[in-house]
Amino acid sequence: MSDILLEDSEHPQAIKGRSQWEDARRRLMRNPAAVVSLYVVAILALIAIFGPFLWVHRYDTIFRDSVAVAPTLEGMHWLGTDTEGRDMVARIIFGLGISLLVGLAATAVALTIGVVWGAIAGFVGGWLDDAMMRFVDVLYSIPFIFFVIVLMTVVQTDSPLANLMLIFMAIGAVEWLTMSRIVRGQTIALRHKEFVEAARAAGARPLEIVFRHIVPNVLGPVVVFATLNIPVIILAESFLSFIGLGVQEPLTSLGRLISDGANQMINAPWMLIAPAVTMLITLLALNFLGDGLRDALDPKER
Amino acid sequence: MAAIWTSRRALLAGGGGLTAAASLGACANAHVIGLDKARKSLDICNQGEPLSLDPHKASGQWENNILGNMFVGLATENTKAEPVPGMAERWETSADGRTWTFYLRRAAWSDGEACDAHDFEFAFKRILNPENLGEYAAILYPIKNAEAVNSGAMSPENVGVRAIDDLTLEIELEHPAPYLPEMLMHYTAYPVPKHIVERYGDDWVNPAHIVVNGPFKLIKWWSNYIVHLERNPAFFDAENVALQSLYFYPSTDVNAAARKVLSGEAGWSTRFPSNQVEQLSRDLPGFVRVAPYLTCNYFSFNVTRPPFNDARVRQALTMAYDRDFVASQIYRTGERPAYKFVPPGIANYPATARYRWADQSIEQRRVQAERLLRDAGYGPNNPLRFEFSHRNTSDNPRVAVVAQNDWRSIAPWVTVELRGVETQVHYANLRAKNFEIGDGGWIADFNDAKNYLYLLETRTGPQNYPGYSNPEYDRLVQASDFEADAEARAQLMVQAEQIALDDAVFCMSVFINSLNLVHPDLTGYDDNLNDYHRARWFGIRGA
Repeated sequence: MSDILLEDSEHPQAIKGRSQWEDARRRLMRNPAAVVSLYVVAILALIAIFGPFLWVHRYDTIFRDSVAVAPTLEGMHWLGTDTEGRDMVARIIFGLGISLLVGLAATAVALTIGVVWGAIAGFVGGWLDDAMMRFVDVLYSIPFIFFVIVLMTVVQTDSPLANLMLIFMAIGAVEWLTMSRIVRGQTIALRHKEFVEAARAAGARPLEIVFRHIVPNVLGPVVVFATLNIPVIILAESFLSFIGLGVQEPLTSLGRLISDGANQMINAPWMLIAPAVTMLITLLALNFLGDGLRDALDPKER
Repeated sequence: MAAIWTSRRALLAGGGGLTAAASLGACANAHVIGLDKARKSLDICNQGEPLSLDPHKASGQWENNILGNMFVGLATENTKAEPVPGMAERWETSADGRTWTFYLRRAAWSDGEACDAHDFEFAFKRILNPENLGEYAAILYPIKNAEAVNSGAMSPENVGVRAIDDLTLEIELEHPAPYLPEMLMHYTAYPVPKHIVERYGDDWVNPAHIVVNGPFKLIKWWSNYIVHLERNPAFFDAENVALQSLYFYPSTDVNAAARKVLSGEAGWSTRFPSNQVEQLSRDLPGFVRVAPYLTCNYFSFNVTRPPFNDARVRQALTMAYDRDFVASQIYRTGERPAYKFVPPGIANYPATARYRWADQSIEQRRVQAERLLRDAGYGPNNPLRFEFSHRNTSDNPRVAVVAQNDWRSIAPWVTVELRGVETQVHYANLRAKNFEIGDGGWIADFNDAKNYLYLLETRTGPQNYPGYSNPEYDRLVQASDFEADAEARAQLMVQAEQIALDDAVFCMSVFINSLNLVHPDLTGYDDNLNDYHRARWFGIRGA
């Protein structure tokens, strides 16, 4: 009883109303670069989701009379057409969607595996922690691109959708390693905190403690890492597409568009410039947003 | 980059056993010069990495480009790719056209051993021996007993090739073959050094062992990087060979090949991206060489498996493919749409066989295609799904996108997946019938329609990619072999071609042109229908 009284006297009612997340939101909103980036990311996401339905051309329609035309208002080819006669605006919108989707989905995979793995290792500790972390170390030693290439060539899929899923999984399966280390570190720092002891004393089972009490408290750094991870994954997918292992035609991604554009750089420069600028904007915005979130959620890091 | 390049080249020269002065000379250069007038060297962007430099194991044009400089057959090609005397100084034909006698010149292998009729006899028996797995052996079937030997029914001793003495070789044929001299300039008919092959077996092509009878000898084969040839002083016409060194780079990326010529690091590229022809003509005046070519690009249907064992399905896809668009827009160098199998321009052959629907518009054809597919039992409740595998080099992926689009626009229930495959793996898949539809290109080995029609004969084996077998077709092609009258022979072959077209075994795509980038100071290079250019005839202007 005395404990509770003491708590109350230290934290008067008036200040208690603002949560940690509310603080973070305010700090984020005071960072102009992050706010602008937030809007840019939101707009890009809206374009990627609704663009394919709103834009006049489909991404895979071949315009037989206008092959490789430079950007023009005629026929609504604002960014021109590619060397197979497909509208570049439609293709960039579609490619942006695929790239963002790969980024989000792979991050989700990394997040799920990484948080569970790291939280369990950190909370249980002892030989299990050692074993799980050595496993992570072993996976770390495999070069990322090498691992993905082997995976993509060994597992042959029939449909392009399954192929896309494979890319998500392949990238996610590598990216969770860093995540698990971050979460493990945070968990170790938290596991002897008073609220965990209290939960234990109240009779909560270990798994319950991990997922109800510890995981919500490590989400701050996890969110930051995830935001900064999306651009890394978009770049990785672009690289895979660039070397021909990514999405298959007629599907496309920003990386693939840039790869195709690079081949036609001399005779159709618009095929390179437009997707490259799109990629640039996307990555810049995501990175600024990630930085802003880090500053907001983790003020000690500044 | 340039520095690393130069040092690797210098390393290569040193490793090749050249004098220290030569390697110092290479180091002194700021960078590699594609057509080096001082060193008399030529750097060549070749369109692929050779699978083997054994002429009995090769099958690609990129291997031919190298092998043709290392070996010389009984006949060889001049700058126009016409047959001229090679190792044989002259030849005679018997009255019935079935026995040919070749009188060889005195010549030596690069190690000084005599290269004579026995080496030729040995070579023909080696390639036709089924144990040696010469995948191109079927081209030699006009030779007596060649087919029986190659299929294992007879021992190799029975091949109709015999060395009468050191300098006289007799070849007996199954049937008259007026195109024999052209056939004998192909690499399947090259001699191999009996004394070396018997000592080292299949390892005889190792640069440490190999000897050659041609104008250039192999110094080093650095896998996936370079094939280095040097002038062979023991070659019978060595005094007229002007170039000293040839460097072949496997340049599967045509854009990179063009850039290499642009930067001056290569003096000849055997390909360039056709839709960049205008820019290249402007940036590289005098380099661009576009010429008619005895080559067709086509898609093979695997007729041994559903869904393409049904002729209606093949017919539908063949009709719905818009080859006019591909020829005029995907390619930009005057390629012609292919409505027939044998390319126009082939010798002694009228271009009369063609798809019967060739004059209809693409819209009409698309409607008919849907009807054919519905007749074959496909529809919304039984969608048609298949995979189109294509070579992932050059313009082939771009053509594949159009084909996919055309086929999908027949009806919404047609689904096409694309699979880009590395060229050598792709052809291995075709030979193993491990595909549904696969693209491919066939380059004439000799200027005769037989060289195309034999591809669909049942007896051709792995090279009959579709797995097509039609007794009437086989009968007509065989009958043409035994027909002495050139006109009647052509008519039989036209009938056979029409059968293959009606059965829609291939979806013909385009007749492509040969596209070379050649340094204007390189002499002795002539455009020709086979795209054969031997460095033996090359010279350097102003050297």
